[in-house]
Amino acid sequence: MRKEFSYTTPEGYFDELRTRLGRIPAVLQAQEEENAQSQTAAQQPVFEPQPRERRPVFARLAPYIALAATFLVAVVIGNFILSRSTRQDVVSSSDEEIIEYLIESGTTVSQIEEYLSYNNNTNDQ
Amino acid sequence: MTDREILSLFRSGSREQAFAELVERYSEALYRHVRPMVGSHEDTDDLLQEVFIKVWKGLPSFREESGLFTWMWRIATNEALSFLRKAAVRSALRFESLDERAERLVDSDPWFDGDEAQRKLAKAVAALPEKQRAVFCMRYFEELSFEQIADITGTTVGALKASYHFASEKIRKNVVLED
Repeated sequence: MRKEFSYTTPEGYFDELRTRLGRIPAVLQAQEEENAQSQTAAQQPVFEPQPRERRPVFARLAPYIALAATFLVAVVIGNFILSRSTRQDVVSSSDEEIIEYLIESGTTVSQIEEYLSYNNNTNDQ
Repeated sequence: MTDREILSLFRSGSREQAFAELVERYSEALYRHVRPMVGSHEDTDDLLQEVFIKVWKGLPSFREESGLFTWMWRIATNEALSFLRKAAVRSALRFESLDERAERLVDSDPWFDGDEAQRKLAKAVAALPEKQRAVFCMRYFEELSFEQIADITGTTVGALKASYHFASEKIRKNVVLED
C-alpha cells in the first residue's frame, strides 16, 4: 500500500488559508482595542454627583432631636401606665387558699398556726 | 529564513512579518499533521486557526527550550487531542462506537481520494484511541523519529514505541502496512 497523503483539499485552499491566518494579528489587536475601550467606558460613572449644599447646624440636628423626643415621650407614657397598674389593690386571697398554698409549699403546721394567729390579731386591730 | 531568523525578526519588532513567515512555512505541514488525526477537512481548518492564534499569543513568551517546530507541533497535537476527546463524548452520547464513527467519517468525507486499501487504513486509524492515533500518524505518515515525537508529546521514547506497536498491530488486522 502506498504511504501517501490520501486527503485532498478544495482548489486554492492553502493560499486562502495562508491569507486568512495572516490576518490573525490584526484581528486580535482590533479585539484588544475594543475590549480596552469597553473597560474604560465601564469605569466612568453614569452620572456626575451634585455637590451638596452646606445646611445650618439646627437643620442637620433636627432629625436626631425629633427621634430623642419621640423616645422620651414613649418612656413617660410607659412609666405612667406601669405605675397605675402597680397601685391597684392586690386581689385578696381567702385564708383557705392561703393555707392550701402553705401546705403545698411544705410549710409546717406550727408555722401555719403562727400565721393564722398573727393574721387574726391583725384583723382584730 | 530559518526558525532562528524568524524569531529574531519577531523580537526585533517586525512581529506581523515574522508571523507571516511562520504561516508560510508551516501552515500546510501542520494541515498534514492534523488532518489524519482529526479526519475532517472542516475540523482541521478550524483547528489550524486555533493553533495559529495560540502561536501568535505564545510567541512573545517563547523561551526556545525546544525548537519552533516542536513547539508548534505540540500546540497542534494538543488541540487535536482535545478536539478528539470532545468528539468521543459526542459519539458516546449518540451510542456510536469508535469503529462506527471512523466508518462514518471516512465514508462521508468528500475530500478523501485514496484507493480502497487507503480507505481501510484511514478507517483503521480513525478507530484508534486518540493518543495512539496521534503517535501512529506522526510516526507512519509524517515519519517523525520517536525522539521527535517524545519532544512533542512529553512522553518517553519507550512508551511511544509500545504505543506505536499496539496501534500497528490493531491496524494490521485489516490493512497491510508499508514498513
